[in-house]
Amino acid sequence: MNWMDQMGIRPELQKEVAHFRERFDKDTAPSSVRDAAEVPRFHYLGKDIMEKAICALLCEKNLLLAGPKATGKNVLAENLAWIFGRPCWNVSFHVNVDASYLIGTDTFDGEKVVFRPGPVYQCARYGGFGILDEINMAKNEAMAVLHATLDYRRILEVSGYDRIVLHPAARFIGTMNYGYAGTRELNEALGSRFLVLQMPTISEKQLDLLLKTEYPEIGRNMCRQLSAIFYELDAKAESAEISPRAVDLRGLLDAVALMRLGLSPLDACDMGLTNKVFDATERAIIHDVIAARIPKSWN
Amino acid sequence: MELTHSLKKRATNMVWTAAGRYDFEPVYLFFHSNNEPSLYLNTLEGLAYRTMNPDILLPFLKGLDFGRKPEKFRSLAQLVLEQAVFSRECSRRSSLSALREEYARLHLTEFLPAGRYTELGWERQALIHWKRVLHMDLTDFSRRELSLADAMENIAALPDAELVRSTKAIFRKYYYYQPLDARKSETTKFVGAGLFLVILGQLFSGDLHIRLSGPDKNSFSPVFSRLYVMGKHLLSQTTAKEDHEYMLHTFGPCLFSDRQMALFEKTFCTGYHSRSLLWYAGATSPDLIFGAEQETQYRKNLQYYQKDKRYYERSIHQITEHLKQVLEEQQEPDLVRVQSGHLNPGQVYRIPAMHDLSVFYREIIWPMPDFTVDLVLDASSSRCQEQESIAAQAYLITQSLQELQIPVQVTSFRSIRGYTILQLLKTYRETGIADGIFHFFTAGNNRDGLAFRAIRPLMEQYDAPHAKRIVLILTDALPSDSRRAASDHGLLRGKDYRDTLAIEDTREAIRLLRSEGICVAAIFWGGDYAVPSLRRIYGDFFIRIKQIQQFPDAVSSLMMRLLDQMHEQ
Repeated sequence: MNWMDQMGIRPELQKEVAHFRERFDKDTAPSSVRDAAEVPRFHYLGKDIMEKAICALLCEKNLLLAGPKATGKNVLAENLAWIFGRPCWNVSFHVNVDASYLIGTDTFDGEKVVFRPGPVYQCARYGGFGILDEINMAKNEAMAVLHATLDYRRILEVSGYDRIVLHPAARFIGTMNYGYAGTRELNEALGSRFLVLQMPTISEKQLDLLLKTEYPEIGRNMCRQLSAIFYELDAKAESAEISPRAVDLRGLLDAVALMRLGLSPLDACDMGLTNKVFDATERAIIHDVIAARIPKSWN
Repeated sequence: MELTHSLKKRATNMVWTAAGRYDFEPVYLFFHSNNEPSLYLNTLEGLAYRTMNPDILLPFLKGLDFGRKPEKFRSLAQLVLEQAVFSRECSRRSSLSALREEYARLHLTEFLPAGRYTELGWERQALIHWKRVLHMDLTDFSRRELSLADAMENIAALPDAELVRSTKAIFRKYYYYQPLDARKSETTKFVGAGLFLVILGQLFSGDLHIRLSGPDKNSFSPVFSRLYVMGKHLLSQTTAKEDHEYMLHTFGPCLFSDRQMALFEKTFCTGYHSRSLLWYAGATSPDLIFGAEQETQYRKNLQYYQKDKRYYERSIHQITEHLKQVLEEQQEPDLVRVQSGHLNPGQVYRIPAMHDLSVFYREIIWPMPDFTVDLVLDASSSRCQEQESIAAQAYLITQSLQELQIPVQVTSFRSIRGYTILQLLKTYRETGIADGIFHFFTAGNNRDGLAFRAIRPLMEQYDAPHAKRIVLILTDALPSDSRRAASDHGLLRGKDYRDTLAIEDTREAIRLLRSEGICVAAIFWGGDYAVPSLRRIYGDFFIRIKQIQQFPDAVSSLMMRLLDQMHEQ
């Protein structure tokens, strides 16, 4: 909870979260199934967004985090599971997602046919946080099986077996990036079952803080130039001069990790950013952006 | 290395990156002698866009072009500007000093020996400048040359206006510099004539004429020709034969035989349209008058596109990329249950429990794309102010779809003298550059209800490559025709074909197309006024664009919705 203090989260919200945790702490998944969420690798840095997300989850609503790449959608989802002290199931959506993938499937255990529970089933049963990653990658018809789970009914029909009522602590957090490769528009029926948070692009101050938190030894000037590279690539992708592949926050952080091991900053940025694009002209443009910011002489 | 499009794109991007803006075309692009873009100079130019006031700077640079020895003064001014921008930005950009030194070294190696140039030549000033950057020995240069270099360097820190003033003062002192005023634009003398043409254009706005969206000197002949056409055809009470002759002369022979046309008219010209006629025409007009006007508009459409070609190319790329993703997604293999292939573990229980051996699957990929797109353009006079932009938008959509091997046909429609003319600007079969679209022009009225019913024969004229169809309509959703809607009672005079009647009729035509499994959507660029009628006619399947920048995203998203809808059918 100290971290929430540091973030400046409103005390009354902190109190509500503490109350939620107290209420459900003893009522969690067996460790053979899933442990409670661990301390996340990254902390989400936007106070306003965090407060809005906490409010939504406290109101027993599901949350849809919509935004472009590198806005911290998954980081926020993991942070929320950790703050609320719930186990979390991460479901990566793709075009072939279907009911059996989400809810569970029949299988043969050597003697008889048994039900093998899927992530949504387990979430519902044990009061977990289900992170539905890139939810708009799936076909809308495949998602129809979740309609009753996600709305006020809070039930899950397991075809041929049972109907279970969702554990009161269970929440679903969808993430989506509209316009990302292979994505589609979420249909109205599904969209209306979520409260939606439009995730802003990480601010310069937050990026600076993130770089310094992750790599405390990074120099102020290097930090400034790396942050400038990120925003310049973002503007380029916005103007459709390059594909958004190179606007990759993970790649930028990875590049800093390589620099720490002695790789030259130019080479590290090329590995983390430039080479993620496969078109030669785009690659040259991205390299130019980096070269205009980082001198060859830097180590 | 050849100066290719991609090298120019790189250089332009260097300028844009540094400027932090993408809404302009750089005045200069810099390349090394091997045609490699110069990162330093292009970055510096971008920084100049960011840090300097163009209202002060550009008149100064233009003034140099009109003076004596423009190349010399421009080069000297560039040295001053280089120094100025560098001093302003070097503390913010760590790489700038290193890039500058690298460029200076390259410049000096590419440069001929210093002794070749006369004293105070601009080339020697460049030598001094770049040698100073590298802290090299300057004893070869005279005191006067060095004093000029000092003077140019010392003013670098001044604000823009003072910088320009001081540069001019230095040029005057050392070179007796006297720039000439920029010559007055020759175009001003056409303003009077332009106004005249606009007024004439407004006068002759009947349902007959191609409207030129902006006046130019080439417009004289067609405008005067209109008087002739007005007199001969429009104001007279013409007979059916004369109207038919007029269609033939103006739009060329009909694409279908008389027998076919009789059948089409019997099928489509019913109800409100029972007194209307149809004409299917090719892209260009054989008529001298119309042909000339159309040619003028063709050039205007093309120029309009060329002016923002880079933007349109980017947009085509953007739409293509978006749609490619959607098509690839739909191209996901279908999994079919079979008795041999990949094992499906979830189904294994069926062997002992049900003696069902179909526990394997095989992936089957269906060929794509499996649909055609018909782009239909409202070519009535009400769109005359937008005809260049409509042509550019149609071209953009067509090229984007063609990149993905999707067959596209483009048709424009208008109504004149009781005929609704559907003009084929591009067929499914044409797969190259679709410049037939630039023959688009506006004239007459728009009897949308009849046009959308009568488009079927064009869609089926050739062996359509695919059975599934999408129709995209670029429209203002304001159907209207000077010929009244026919009344059910032959003796009564029909109502005007406009407002609610026309909207409902168009809606019915769209419903008919949809009932035949065709996905229809509209694209509208403009204000709020058309939204109610768009919604009434097209339901949710329309997009409204307020700014051209929204166009690629809007088209992609509309196409994605249509593809989803088609996929679900």
